[in-house]
Amino acid sequence: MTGSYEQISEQHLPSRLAESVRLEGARKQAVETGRTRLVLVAAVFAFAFLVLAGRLVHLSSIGEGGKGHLALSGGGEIGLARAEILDRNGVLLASDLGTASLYANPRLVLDAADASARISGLLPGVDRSELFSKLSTSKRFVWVKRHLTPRQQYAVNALGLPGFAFLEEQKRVYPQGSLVGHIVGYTGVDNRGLAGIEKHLDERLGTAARNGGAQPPLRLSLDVRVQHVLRHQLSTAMETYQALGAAGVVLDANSGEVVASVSLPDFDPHRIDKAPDAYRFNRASLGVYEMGSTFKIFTLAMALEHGTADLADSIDARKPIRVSRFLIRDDHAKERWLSVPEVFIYSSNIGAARLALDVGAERQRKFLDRIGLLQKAPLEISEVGQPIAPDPWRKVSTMTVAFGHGIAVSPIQMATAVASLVNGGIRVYPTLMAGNASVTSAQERVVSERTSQTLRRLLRLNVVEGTGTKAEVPGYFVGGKTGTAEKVGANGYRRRALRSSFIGVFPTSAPRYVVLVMLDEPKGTKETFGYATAGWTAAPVVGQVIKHAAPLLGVEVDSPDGHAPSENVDLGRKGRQLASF
Amino acid sequence: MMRPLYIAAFVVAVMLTYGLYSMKYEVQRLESKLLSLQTELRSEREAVQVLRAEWSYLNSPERLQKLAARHLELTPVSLHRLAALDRLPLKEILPDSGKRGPEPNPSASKTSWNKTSSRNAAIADGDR
Repeated sequence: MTGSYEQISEQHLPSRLAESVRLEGARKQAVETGRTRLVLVAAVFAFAFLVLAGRLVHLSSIGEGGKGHLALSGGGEIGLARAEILDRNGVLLASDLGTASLYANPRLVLDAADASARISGLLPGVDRSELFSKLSTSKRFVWVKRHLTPRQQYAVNALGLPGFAFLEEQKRVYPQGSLVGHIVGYTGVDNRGLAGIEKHLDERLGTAARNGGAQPPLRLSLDVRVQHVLRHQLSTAMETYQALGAAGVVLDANSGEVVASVSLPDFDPHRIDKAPDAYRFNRASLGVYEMGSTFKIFTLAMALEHGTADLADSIDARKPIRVSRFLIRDDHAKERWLSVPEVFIYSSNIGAARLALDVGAERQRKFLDRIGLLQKAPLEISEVGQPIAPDPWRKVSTMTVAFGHGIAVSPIQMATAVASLVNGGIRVYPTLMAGNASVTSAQERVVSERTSQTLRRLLRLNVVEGTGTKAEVPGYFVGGKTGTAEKVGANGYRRRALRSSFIGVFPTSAPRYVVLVMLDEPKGTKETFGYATAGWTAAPVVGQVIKHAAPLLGVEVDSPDGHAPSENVDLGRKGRQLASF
Repeated sequence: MMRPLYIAAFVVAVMLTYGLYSMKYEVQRLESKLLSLQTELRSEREAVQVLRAEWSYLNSPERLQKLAARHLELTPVSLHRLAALDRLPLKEILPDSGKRGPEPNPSASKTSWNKTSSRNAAIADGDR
């Protein structure tokens, strides 16, 4: 470097300056400064060239700018438009599949009449004249048909028509079909959720997935095996009793997880346009009904909890009560004083009304509110029914609500409220998300451990001895309560149109699950001796569901011979002791 | 004095040029390979997705129940035949020949053995 510099300076600098190099003092100083500056400039240039060379190597080895990084991180992921939905055991309930959608560019279509004739011949649901008018426009893009099957795609391709092309789209599929249709819901043609989980969690499943890449699958609390058992038993019962509809819920009594929820008739989420509105209606969560005698569970719990009655008390049920224009009477009136357990197992409306009156209207309303019967169930689907409660809450309301009339709640709410009472008295909230146990957070006690235990004994007694005998499954210690409500018609209650329900709990020693079954207008058969009441129609369904589902749920059979840690409930009748659980 | 330096610089430049070009082509080759692998991966993943949906569809309880009813001679296991493993008495091994006791009925034993590994699944099998 120095050599070349000297050469350059001697060649190009004027000779006067070359001579002055030998000069001393201030002049020499100036030349030194000039040299240093030149060295500095040369270094800067050298550095710039090095940077260029380095960049060149970088570009040839890594690729052009960010493209290389993009290709590496892309990793061949398939862009799911929506996150998957799984059941609690990982069974696929909803997923995306890539399909081809056919579109046309009308400007490129040569013969619109011929093309529309051929295409409409291949694809069902494509109208010839409609397609012709679409193709006759001067637009550049019209949809012909969305989501073709591979076979249709092949056939359209084989036509070789110019102006037609395919666009790859994602389509939602539901491998379990109608089994979980009411809960999972469905999506529209543009993959937006329109019902159920799909609608309620549309953001989580859809939009978020589109923006933030792959979303983890959503795991529900449902168990398709239990769901199937419930649906199968309900549809069998619907057929046997020629019911108009049916609903059923299996709920984890301790966590509030909905293990199964069925509403019949149901629909195929793939053919949603063919399902009538009534089929899309979710009876288990959206429908609110007067549940009838199953409400006596709450009346009993309330009376015991507030100490206005205990099991040894007797209630006057000799004759019907008349309150203003209402007459409260018993279906199979005993016309005598009944003990509190008898009020429960004989399902005495008069007894329940009296028990409720002793508690009082305000305390009754607060109690029902505390177990979640007066607000909407906090369920993760968009179809949740608003309960209908009496307003104002008069004395007569207190009495009718005591046996489940004048108040309408959804089956899910019903099951949740019972779960909160029998699980030891801790409030549970229904949820459809797996592992979303509400009990782990702050525990809300609704009744004391003791009241809860007494209730379990009463429920068990009712299955051993009362109206619920047909729900018994030896080994599982089922407890439960029947409810037969008359449906409201044009002129008050219709005596022949019933809504029969049964709410079961098992095992009563330490409840794991609550099972609720409701049949809409069942008709009696020869086997039921013409009865359509809950004890004959709904109770056996609960028994069957428990029998088939309990092993799947891992509930152990306890001493199947039927002898169990027994606890006696004194019915208050002379010389009679009943063994219960 | 300068000549060897020039020659050395020239040789280095030629080597670098060659190195650069060969590396560039190598990178291009690898990139197209990556692209084809990614395409392949994508189509495989799509196939997996389709197969998972099909698996779920083919395993739907309703379909299994129909098939079982048609092809299997099984009935739901009655509840008194279910027991937790720790409640079963240990089998005695006869001292003389190492023979075990009488073999249990195979269909009955299947349920109880399955039960050891997965209690739920075993009963599900029997049930459908």
